[in-house]
Amino acid sequence: MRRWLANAPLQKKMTISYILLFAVSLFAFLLVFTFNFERDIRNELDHMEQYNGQLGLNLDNIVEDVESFCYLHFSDDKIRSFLLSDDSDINPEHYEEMEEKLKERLSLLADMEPHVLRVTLYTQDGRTYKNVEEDQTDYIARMKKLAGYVDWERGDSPYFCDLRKEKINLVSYKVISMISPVWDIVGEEPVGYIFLDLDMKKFEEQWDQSAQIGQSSEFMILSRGYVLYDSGVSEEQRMDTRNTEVVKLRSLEKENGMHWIHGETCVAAIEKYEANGWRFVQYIPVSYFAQRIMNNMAPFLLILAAVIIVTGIGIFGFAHQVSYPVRVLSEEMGKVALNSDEEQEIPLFEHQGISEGDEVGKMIQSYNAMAKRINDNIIKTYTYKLRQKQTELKMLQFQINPHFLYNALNTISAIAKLENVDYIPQISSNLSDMFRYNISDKEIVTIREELQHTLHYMDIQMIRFPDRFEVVTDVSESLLDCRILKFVLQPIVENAYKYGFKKRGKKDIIKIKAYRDGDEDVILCVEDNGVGMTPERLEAVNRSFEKSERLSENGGIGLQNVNSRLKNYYGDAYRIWVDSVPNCFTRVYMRIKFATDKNGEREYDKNNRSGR
Amino acid sequence: MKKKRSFFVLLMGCFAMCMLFSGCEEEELPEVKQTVRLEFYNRKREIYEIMETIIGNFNASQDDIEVTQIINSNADVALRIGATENAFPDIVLLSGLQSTETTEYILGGNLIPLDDMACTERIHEEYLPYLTCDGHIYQLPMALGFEGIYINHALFKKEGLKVPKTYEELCEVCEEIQERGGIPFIFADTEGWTVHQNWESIMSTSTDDFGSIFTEIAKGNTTFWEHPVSRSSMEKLIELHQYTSDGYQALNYDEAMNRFAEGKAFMFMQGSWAYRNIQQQNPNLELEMIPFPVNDGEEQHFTLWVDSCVGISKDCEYPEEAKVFLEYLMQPEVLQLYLDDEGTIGCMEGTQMVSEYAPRINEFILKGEENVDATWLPIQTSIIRDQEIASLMPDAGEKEIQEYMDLMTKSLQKHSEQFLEVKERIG
Repeated sequence: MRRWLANAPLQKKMTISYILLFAVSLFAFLLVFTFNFERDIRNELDHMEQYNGQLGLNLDNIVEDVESFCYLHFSDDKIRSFLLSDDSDINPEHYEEMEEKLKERLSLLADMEPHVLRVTLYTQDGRTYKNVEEDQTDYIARMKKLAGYVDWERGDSPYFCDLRKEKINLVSYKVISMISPVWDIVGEEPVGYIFLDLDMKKFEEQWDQSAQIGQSSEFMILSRGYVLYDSGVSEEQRMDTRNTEVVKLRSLEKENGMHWIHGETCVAAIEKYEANGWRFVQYIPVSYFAQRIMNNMAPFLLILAAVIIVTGIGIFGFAHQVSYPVRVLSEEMGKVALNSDEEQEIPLFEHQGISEGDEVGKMIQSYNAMAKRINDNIIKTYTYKLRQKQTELKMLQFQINPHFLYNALNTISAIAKLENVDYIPQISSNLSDMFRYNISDKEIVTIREELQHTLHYMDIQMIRFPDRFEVVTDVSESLLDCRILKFVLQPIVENAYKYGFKKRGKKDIIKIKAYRDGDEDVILCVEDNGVGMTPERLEAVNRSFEKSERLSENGGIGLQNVNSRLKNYYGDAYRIWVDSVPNCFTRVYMRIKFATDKNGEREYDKNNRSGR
Repeated sequence: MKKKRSFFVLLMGCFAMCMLFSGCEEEELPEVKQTVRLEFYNRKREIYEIMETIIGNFNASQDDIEVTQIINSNADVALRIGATENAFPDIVLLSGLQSTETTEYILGGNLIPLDDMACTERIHEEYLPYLTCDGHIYQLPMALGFEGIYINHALFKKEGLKVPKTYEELCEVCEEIQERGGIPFIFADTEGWTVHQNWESIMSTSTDDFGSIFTEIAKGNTTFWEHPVSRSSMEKLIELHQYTSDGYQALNYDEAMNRFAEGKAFMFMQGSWAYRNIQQQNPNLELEMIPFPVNDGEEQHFTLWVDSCVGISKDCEYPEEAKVFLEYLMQPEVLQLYLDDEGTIGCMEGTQMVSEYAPRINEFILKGEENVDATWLPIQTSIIRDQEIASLMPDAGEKEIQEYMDLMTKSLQKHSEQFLEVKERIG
């Protein structure tokens, strides 16, 4: 992976970086979201528990208030006495008076308690006292029966009946009936019971107020068989007892967590109100949390999105600006790398729209300069090799059985001497020396040897064309041992001989001179007094030597060969140049390094080669 | 690297050692004792101050227990609700077993037995039967109560009158006072409890077995109307009401007490509990309490009741600590502080058993001739007794008295089973 990434294109790397940035941002967002989600749920569950506690306290208050009915006998000894036993046989008048007093007391207490619609005091010996004047036989019988089911103990909470409709004073009410035992100080059994009908509407009003205090959660209150209240739905829906979701909640004691309520997952806090088994269920849809968190995070998300978009645009723009030229350059370089032909020129990188001032532009410039140098070297190497091949070919041509040539020449010389034929021994001797010189392995010779080889050649030419030209040498003795490339002088002299003296009547003179130029160089000059060159021709010739190019017309190959060999061996500064005046003279100059011994030549040769 | 790791290990080791030693130190620290807080529930506002002093002394004497006095304007109702809700106060001040409610609290199991307390050994033996229920002592007696006639000695001296020794002398003195323009008696007739206590006080001086009157009636052997002591006592009480005037009869307890303290009347029938309050109202008042005089020729008796008692609730979380406080409270010197403040007498060894303002009563006690009673009445009967008796005053005729007494009799006889059962259990 790491290698793949390292080798991946820059644009791909930047794209991956951007994807990583996006992924990290997304991860950060998810992390923050999850953290906030869980924290909000925890906080809301705490709040919901508190709200449930508050609902319980509110209900406690109502229960405590209505429990005062159970202690009304303690506030008045006469009522207490009256309640404990039916003493109507002892004092009927007093009994009737107490009955009235008790009813008044019950009515008064009921009036003071807004939740109480009806209160009935049922004594252990079967007497009933109530605050409403109507026949309640069935009601009393039912309540008495319910009271009998409970195994009452001191300190027990009242018993709550489930929601039902009751007609009280001809008006229909939804009521929660409550049965409270009435205890005296002594006794194992209650001395009576208080039956209370509590107005459901008052509860609902109170719960409505609780629902409006601004908490995030909705809440429902469940009795054994009914949804008594649900702030999240309408009143009609509350009475749907077949709602299985609600039936399930009703069986839970105390549980906080996720529950399926009203067709969606909700965070709910469920608490059982021990006094009557009602369940307080505070709930908030999970979607609410998500929405709230998103709302809270909206500025953050907007900033994040903006950062991602801006970064994306920036990265792609930057990637394009940087990677495009790099990619194109890389592709071009790749083509070069793929090309196995070493001698093919490297194409230069030319692309419009790429800045030349920045690093990439400079890199491209550097590449082009480098490619140019390599191309130059390729051309040089190619030329060099070509010429070397030609030379080798020629050399091979010359090297055809040299012993045979020597022998043939010796035979010719011997026959010529026997026959007294002049010049032939001289010619054959010069040819023999030239062949020997040719086939020697030495590449570097002395000026003396090179001069000698040239003179051998000229001797032959002078035998061929007697009295036509004269060769004058002007080389000081000190320079004769100077080391020089083999076969550099003879071609120049040959060139002068071939081309310098066309259609002239005067005697042709070829002068060969050598002189020092500074401490390091030696100049060799071959001068002819031939036809010379026009200035244009002279300039063209010199340009061709300078650039190592051939002139378009035939001829001059030998000089170009020499020029190239000099340049290759000594460096560009060491080459041939020509000076000429038409119909007066032509001078061909040749610059070489001054080196007198083999060691010096080798040292130079080594340095020079390594420097190329 | 290795050096760094060694240093880290050393650091962790030091940390672990520190934790270890700090842990050891924590274990060696003595446990911080929590102060036990107890409530002393007072039903008598007259003794609030002295109880604050005693409780303050107790709290200052040690650090383990802190007692707080609670007094409630509606003390009885709160106590009854507490008894019903299993929230009876830790330590509660009640009356003796003659109090309907006290007995109910004991029978209802709201108090724990205190037989194992050392201080019970110091209770005078003759009082033990009136403190025992089902063989257990549930309350420790702080003070005894008795009732008689407070005499304003200064007025008597001023008029040159003698303190009466017989009922006839009493009537004569009253007539004499009236003739001289004075007001012989002052009554707190708007409060039924003072009237019935007046009646019972008169009854108790004519018999040496006050409780038997109720027992005999409950058994159906007689009635309140037929019983000579019962009937005559009521008649005497009504008769004495002719020796007062319009502004001095229909008064409540406080009003009557204050008027008497101001010297507006020569005599005031009231219990020992009123002495300190009268004194506080008028410290210069020369007071004497005499037993209600009997008819000439009859034997004079005198009866005491156990008045203030303390008990420990079954709902008390720290009963042993509560007993520590009660042991302190029942120490003679501490209890004497209380008795001195209330101006009454106790029944514990080491406490004063006579009162300086009641020499005639002291004679009974010193001779050991006093009677003690703890007669309890069912609530229904006691309601009739307390609520209806006031209507007889000041001048009920024979018919009204008989009707009243018949109601009492019927009620007691109707609830006789309960009465006799409780009577059996007490003592």
